[in-house]
Amino acid sequence: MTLQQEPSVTGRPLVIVGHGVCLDACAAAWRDAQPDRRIDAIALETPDGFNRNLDPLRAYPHESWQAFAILPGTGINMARLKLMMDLKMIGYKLDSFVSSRAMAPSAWRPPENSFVSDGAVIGHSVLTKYNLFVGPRCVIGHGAKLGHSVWLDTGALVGAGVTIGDNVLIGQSAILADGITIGRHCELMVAGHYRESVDEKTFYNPMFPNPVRIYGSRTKS
Amino acid sequence: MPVISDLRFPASAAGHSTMRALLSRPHYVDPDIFRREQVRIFGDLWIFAGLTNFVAESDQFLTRRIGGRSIVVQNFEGTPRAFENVCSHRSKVLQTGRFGRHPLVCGYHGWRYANDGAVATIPFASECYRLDPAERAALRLREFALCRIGKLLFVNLSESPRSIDDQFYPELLREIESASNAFDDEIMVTTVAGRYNWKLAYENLRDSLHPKFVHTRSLNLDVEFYDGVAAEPVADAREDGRVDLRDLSFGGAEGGFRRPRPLPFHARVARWGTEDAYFNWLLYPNTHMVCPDGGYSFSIEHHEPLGVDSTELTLFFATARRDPNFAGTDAVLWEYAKGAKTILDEDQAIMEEAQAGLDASSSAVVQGHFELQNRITDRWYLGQLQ
Repeated sequence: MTLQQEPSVTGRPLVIVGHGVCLDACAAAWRDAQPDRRIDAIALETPDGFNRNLDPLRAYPHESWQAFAILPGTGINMARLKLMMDLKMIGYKLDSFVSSRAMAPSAWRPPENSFVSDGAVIGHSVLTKYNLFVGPRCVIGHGAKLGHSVWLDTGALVGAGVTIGDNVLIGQSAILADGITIGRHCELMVAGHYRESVDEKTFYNPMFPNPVRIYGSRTKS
Repeated sequence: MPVISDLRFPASAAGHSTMRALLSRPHYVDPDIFRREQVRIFGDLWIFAGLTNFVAESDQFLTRRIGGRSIVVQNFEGTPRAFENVCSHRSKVLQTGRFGRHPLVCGYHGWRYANDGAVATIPFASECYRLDPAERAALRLREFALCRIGKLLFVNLSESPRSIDDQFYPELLREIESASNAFDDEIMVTTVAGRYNWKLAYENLRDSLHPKFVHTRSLNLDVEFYDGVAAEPVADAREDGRVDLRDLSFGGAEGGFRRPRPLPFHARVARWGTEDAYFNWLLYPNTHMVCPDGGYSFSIEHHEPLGVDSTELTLFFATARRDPNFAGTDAVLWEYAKGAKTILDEDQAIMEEAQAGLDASSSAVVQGHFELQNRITDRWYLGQLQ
């Protein structure tokens, strides 16, 4: 385990696109870490709550700019995943960020379009995929396996050997017990200790007193 | 059917009307009346039990409480059947959980039931039970009538169940059959408990005026409900003094959109119908189906009375049948559920406050002209309780 002293620097300017407070927060962290790099942040309008108007990116040709997509983690990260895919379709090379105040094994490399915040700790033998967001002071235990588009909110603790599926939101201060499995397309937004595995397409949210679950032909009983 | 002596909506020559509600405080707070409802209403009518999606394959089951009884709808090799969900041996509930896939076998001593409710196998029967063969042959679960309308399953606990056509008009049955057949296979489900009598939920749903006051920052921003107030005084019973049970259930397009909002998923599902309208269907006594966006998505609210002032609401959400390559229904359903919950919370707060008022006061309730449908419903209800 080493302190990540060298955030990724490619030399190319970076355009951070998205929406909301997290856009500003990511841009601020990136500028603080890489003061000599040109870093622009632009908020993209959405006509329908899902697709983003990419017209402002015409001023940032993909041949000379890198990009990073960040949106609030609502809608099980589907909108952020869509934005990331749109950027790749245009031809952008996507950058990632690891705070110098985060800790991770020296061999670990952040996957595409990922962000690791201050105070986060990533254990040994952790497997991660693209579009990852690790909030401040999160801990990912040794041997955990994370799918793509996983969002760990501030202070989330992922136990050793935990498996998390694709498009999963783990809320503030949620604690996942060692070895459990969180199925794909879940939101665990109620702070607390999750001691048992969670079926795919299950939603814990303070708006709902009981879990919300999707059943169907593609869901196991 | 009850014979009603007070036949007509009381209206003055000037067309003004004021009337005392037919139901009074005890109908919302008296446990004895609640127990009578369980038998006379929920033990007599067709009650929504769930969706065929949950019992589509062999050994899949769903459970409900209807009229205070635990009911299981179990698929036996392709055929769903409804039984009392209680083992004949030690009265343990057979299937646990709301939905699942498991043969109809008791987890206590392994008694297994056949598709007619008879006990098929008893482990260690000869060694440990030594039951009289005739007595054993007579052991069987009580079966209930089950009816499928589109993807909606209804159960009737009565030993001589009425025809479902006696409870719902054919046009209504055709419409809910058509709409529910448009549901996708993926269904989102959750439950919400509330401290109110179940009847308050339906009085609220039949109240076309309340969105202007209760949902000012949610539903009322999006939907312009059509005027539900009849221009002329209307009879609240038929000429012969009877209320037709079928008049208690109704629905269809009830409003237009103030600000149409086409969403990306609309292009990925097979829309039901073509009318740009907000659809509501009320299925007496305790089911409410909604299509809030002109045929792209649906929800069902099912209110299960747990006690005189305690109701559990089960919520089902579905999109219209989706393009098989569309992977975004989970996010769509989740966002839909959160939006709907905002509206439900507004309603639930009002109902709980109304229940608190009923608990604390004996003053009579006044109904206005626009609440005629509630009055008609109350007439049938009172006759049924007699």
